[in-house]
Amino acid sequence: MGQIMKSILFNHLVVFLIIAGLFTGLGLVSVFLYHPEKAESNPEMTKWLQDSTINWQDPLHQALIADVLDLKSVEQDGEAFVRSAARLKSDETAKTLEQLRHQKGLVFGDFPDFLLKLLGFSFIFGLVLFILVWGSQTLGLYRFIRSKQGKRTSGKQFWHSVYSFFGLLILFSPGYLIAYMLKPLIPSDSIILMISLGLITNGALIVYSQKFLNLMNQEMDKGYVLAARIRNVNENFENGHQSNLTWKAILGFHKHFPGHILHHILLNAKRQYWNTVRELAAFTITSLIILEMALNIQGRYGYELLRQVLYGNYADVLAMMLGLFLIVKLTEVAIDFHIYKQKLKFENWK
Amino acid sequence: MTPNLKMKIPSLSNDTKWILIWLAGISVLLVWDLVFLNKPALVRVWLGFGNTLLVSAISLTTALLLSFTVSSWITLSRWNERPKLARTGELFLNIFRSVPQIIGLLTGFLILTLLVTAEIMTGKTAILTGFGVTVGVVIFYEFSDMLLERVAWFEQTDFVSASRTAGVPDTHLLFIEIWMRNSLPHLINKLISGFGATIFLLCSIDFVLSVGLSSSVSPINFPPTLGSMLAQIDSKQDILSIGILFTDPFYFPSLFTRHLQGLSVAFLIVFTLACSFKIGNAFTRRHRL
Repeated sequence: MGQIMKSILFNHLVVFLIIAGLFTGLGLVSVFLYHPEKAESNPEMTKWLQDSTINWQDPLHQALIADVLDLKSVEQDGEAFVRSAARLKSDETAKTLEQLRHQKGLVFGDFPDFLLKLLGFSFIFGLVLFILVWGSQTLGLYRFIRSKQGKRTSGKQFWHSVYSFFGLLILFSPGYLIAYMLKPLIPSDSIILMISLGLITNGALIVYSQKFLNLMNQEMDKGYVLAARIRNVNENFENGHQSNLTWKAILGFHKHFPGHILHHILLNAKRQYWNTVRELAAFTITSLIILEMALNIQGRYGYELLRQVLYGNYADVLAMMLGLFLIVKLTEVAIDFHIYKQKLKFENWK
Repeated sequence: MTPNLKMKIPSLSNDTKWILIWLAGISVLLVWDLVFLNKPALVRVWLGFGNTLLVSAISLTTALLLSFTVSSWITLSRWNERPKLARTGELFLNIFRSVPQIIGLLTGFLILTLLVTAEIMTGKTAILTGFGVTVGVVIFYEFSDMLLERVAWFEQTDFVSASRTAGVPDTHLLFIEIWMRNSLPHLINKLISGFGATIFLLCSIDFVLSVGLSSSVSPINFPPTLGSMLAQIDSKQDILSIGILFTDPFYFPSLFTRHLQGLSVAFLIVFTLACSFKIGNAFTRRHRL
């Protein structure tokens, strides 16, 4: 292993140790210092809270009660009273829920289960990241070829824009929004649904395919492309065997177009794209955790993380977050190793 | 000579067009909500939107301040041959770069939750500022990367060495010549993408938080944002009702009057995200970034 790679690994190790030290410190602080205070109630509030017909989460009910209280007494702030009552009600509900469930910490209470959940999450993360890298490159390449073909849906331009924009709205929807929409049809605890949402929603696919497209467009302006044009390298962007732009080559993972100008543009764009994959890995973790938390997928890592937060097991929460950090760090090391190998090959690194 | 009677409409750039489309979409929704949505819900939805925009502004300001501080620290230390200081700065940046945003956000929101529980932080403005600062800290490294990339680009040319030899002060060269005069489009582009990222992260974390981050801190304690509005049971039911269309397509017109709270919130989030992507793209193309 070269000196450069050793130095990269050393940097990763230092960052990991710093974060691990920080989280351990925060965990110790939370164990020794955190004592939640309970909200106080008064007899009038208790009377209001006993009325089962009131929904304290409903803004209409809240506004009506606040108005009634304002009319009843000039001195009392109806809105503040309603806010405190709603808070007390939610405290009571959460307390009942806590009593019903067991409050044992996951990491320090059941370590093998924690490891199993971490491995399960890592598998889904790896799969989603792999498909996202392929998908964003494929979509970026397809859009690049389309732009070079100069194809326009003439006559139906308006409707094409409308459809595209609606498609864009779906691609930019947060995953949990789409999951709630589909809830009557598909159960939200399905792993396939989670993977699909991780791929399609949250803007990941469209944003990272756009980044790949931008890289390809930048490459197109470079001197070696102009030199290749002068030397009459194949520049036919129509699909088919004559141009080497077959669907098999476009959809394949390696995407080779030998003898075509696209081949070198793609190689150079892909090489630069690996720096973006590091960013994509962190974003994928974020969106998957948000999906698991928001959809309350029981037994999954994100859900367990949220549950430990709810129980106030902050030491477990920090240990679980460190687990996520470890996944990202390992992914970064793998990406850096790949970039290093590429640089050895193309830039004569030692 | 016949005068040209055709009115000349000034051509707008695509990014300006998308800004206008965003404003128009938001205005149409506001008018629709004023007509069909009940008053308490209307106030909460638009207060949530306003709060979300305010948090975004605070977040972007925090990200800008932090990124300028860290990037100038690294660059000026390097130029003045203080490699240890520069490496410390790079390490600091690497830490933030490696931490997934969700971890940073959860840690930040945990601290905020503890502060609210202990009643140290009580005012709505203070809580919103806390949201903004947390998101800003999480995303600032993207701004720093861009600023450092610009410095690296100028260092490849003779511009930096020639200016320094000619006696231009380092701070003037860095802040005025490189970042202000020659990187403004890059900075604006980053602000546009940062705006989208802030909206996405804030809405997601607020949604998660409202689902249940703490038993003692509920959405009632926190000022409403689009994420917390979406997590309300009414909004969730409104979103669920879209699924009815798969079995009963004729239910479509009812969505826009009966389930307006959830749909308005969802539209505000998704439309803002999609438009910020389009604005950013058009801006990148116009300035060939």
